Amino acid sequence: MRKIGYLLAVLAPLTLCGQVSPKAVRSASEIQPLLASIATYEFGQSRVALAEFTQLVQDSLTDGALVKQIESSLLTLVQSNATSAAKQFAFRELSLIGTDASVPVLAPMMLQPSTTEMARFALARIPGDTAGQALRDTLGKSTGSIRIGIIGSLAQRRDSRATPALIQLASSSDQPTAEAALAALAEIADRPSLTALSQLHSKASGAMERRAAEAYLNCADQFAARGDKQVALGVYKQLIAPQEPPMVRVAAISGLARVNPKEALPVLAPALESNDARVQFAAIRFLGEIPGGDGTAELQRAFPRIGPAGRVRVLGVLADRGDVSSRSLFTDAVRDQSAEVRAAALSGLGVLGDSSSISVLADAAAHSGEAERNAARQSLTRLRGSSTDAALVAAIRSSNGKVKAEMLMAAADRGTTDAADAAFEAIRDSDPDVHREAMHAIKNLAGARQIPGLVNLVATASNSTERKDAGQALGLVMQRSGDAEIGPVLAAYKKSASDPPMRIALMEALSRTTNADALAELQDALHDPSPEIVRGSILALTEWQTPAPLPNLLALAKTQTNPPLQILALRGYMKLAGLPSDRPNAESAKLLAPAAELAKEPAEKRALLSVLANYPCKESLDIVQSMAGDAAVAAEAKAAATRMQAAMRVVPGGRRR
Amino acid sequence: MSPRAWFPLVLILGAAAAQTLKLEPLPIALPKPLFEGTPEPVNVPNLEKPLRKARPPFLAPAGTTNIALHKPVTASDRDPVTGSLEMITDGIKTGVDGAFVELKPGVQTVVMDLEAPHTIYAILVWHYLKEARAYKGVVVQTGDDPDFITNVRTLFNNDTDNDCGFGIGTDKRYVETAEGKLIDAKGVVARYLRLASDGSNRTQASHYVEVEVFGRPL
Repeated sequence: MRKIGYLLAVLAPLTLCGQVSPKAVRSASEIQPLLASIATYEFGQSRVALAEFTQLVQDSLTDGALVKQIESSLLTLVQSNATSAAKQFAFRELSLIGTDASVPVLAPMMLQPSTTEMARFALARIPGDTAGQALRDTLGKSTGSIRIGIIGSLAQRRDSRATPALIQLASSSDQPTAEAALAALAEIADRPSLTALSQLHSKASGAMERRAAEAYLNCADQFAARGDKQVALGVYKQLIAPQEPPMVRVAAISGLARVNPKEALPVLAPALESNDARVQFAAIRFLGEIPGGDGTAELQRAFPRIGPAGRVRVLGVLADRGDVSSRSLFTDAVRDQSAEVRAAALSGLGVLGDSSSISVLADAAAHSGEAERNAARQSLTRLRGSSTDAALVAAIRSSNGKVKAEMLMAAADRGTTDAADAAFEAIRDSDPDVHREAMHAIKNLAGARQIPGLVNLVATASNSTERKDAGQALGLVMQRSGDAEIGPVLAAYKKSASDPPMRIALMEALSRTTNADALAELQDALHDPSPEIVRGSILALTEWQTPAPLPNLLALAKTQTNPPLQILALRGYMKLAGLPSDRPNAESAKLLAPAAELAKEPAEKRALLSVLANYPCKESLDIVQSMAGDAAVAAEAKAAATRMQAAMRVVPGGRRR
Repeated sequence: MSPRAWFPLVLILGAAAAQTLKLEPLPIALPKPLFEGTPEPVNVPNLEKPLRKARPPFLAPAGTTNIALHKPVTASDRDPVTGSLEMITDGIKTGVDGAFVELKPGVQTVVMDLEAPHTIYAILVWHYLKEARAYKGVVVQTGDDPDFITNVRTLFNNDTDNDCGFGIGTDKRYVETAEGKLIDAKGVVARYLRLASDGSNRTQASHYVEVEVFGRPL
């Protein structure tokens, strides 16, 4: 059945390709014509005849007599003077349908260098002991690479009857033969093989020592896979000994932990203190995989006695287990002599720590090197637990200096909104780090409740940077809180006529809303006698989320005599005109046309050309071409025209893409 | 005074001048490489060939430091998709999730206020560390005013189509690595720095891990 399945898998694609059509009834008369054309086949030529023959084989599988004739014809071909490529094809077919009848022909061919590989390939796949016997018989008659190939085929067949011969060959003075025999015994994995491998392993020396150990180990794996775990366990325990090659010990540790974690524990524990890092890391890893608390306990016991690299591994494994019983180990390891261990401990506390870890982590983040600082900061953000945020707020209030700054940073990153008041309390701190992080936290955490406080902060800021920051924070809070909370801000704005810096900072906050009163105030400020206030209102209106201020900005760009303010108004107009909209491109071009007349400087012309290119249509193109004569922006005009023309070929007169 | 009498004075002045011009490698602390997953080839036009070795040290007058650390940053996108604008100058350049800012898709600019005019020797930009990618329309300019109206100087521009609206540039696009992109500012004096970008070959969004400005106060 396996062979039939294989045949179907091979033939299905060919059939689907339409190269070969299956026929319901096949006859023996079809065999010879096909084989005649196959006999001259060379690699690279058409494979139609080969595919047709394979289809013939498939169609004939239910006709025993016809299959016998096919087998016989193939055997004739492999003995003929057909090309090597044709014979390879025939051997492959024989590997699928061959029977005992093929064995007498194929067996002697295994001894011929030109046919040994393919003959053995076919023979190894023919079911029944006749083929097995042929392989065993030929084993005794062969040498060198032919013998090694046969050993491989016997291993592939897991031929227990070959075990005695293979045991003999495993002691061969020819090393490749001995290695192949060892590998075959491991694959066959019967009791005599196991016993033989045990003996061979105990007396192997030199280069064969590792091969014998590997074979013994692989044999144990086979027993374990078949469910004979006691046998496997015995071998693993034997191979974990310090005198074994390190990688064999690692594999034995793996097998032991897999087969019987409980019994593995006392064996794995000494391996934790191995001088070989590979063995030690394997022991750490497999102890970490043992269910229950025993593995964790063993890792904790061994922790002080192992080197820094091992300690880092242990901490990583314990953190992955998420077993909070090891938290104190992490807290202690934060003071380890090794920086790598300290960083691993800080990182692990992010998973295993709780509110009691906050001060440890914040202290490390404030006073350690880069690796530890990064680990501590990430852990402060990751810390879980229902009381962690409340504890963080309390810790912010009771700490100072860089530790306080780190806690504020953590609160901002965690989104601990309950820390907003504590951040407000810290905003006047004389430590610049605390002040900066408090402002950052306010921007992230403050809500509607803090709006009056923020307005006050804008009003009482000690310098322009602080006022600007406070204005930005207020703007962010306004955006989060919605227009309903605008009352105190508008009231403060109206009272700020005599305090231009405060007024400008509040404009930033007003620009974050869509409130009609706020828009009216900002539009009104465009007519203020103070250039500072006009600039602030232009910038605020430029950030408006709708095109409502377009007429105001255009009017200002036309009438403003102060060049910087005229430029700012024009930029604002272009930005708002370029906001995504459902306007047809021609309408957008019409909206942007006045900007072409108002743009005096190359910088503004380039900005306009960039915006126009987003609206491919004839009207935009006309504006761009009118600007192309200006040498300062000719290249940009050409680029915009090229881009638009390409887009217009795809979506003529469409909307902005 | 005879020429012989001038000689010691010339020596002293020469030594003082040499001391002033003493050049040292920039104190650059590179983040750890952070590429994740199978790298995808960066097939974009006008791409700089990779150096395939560490960047040579960039020499600047002794005492040059990162003058952008913790300086205020504003951006055309006031509400980044992830992160906050402070991250661009916070000195944290691990590049891991949560340690970079992502701006909305399309052309975006960020402006850094150095709070006083400085002599700027180099600008080092890390847009993204987690994969090899090339950002589009990278423009770096200095200005004397926050609105970039007067004395605007372009230090780098690889916007070959004027998509950002700051003119067509001829610099090459480059692949982001942990080394960052170092731009020679040639000792320009400025207070404000503007950086633009228009997404990358991987996404329309722009990112910043960190921007360092190496210079000295006047």
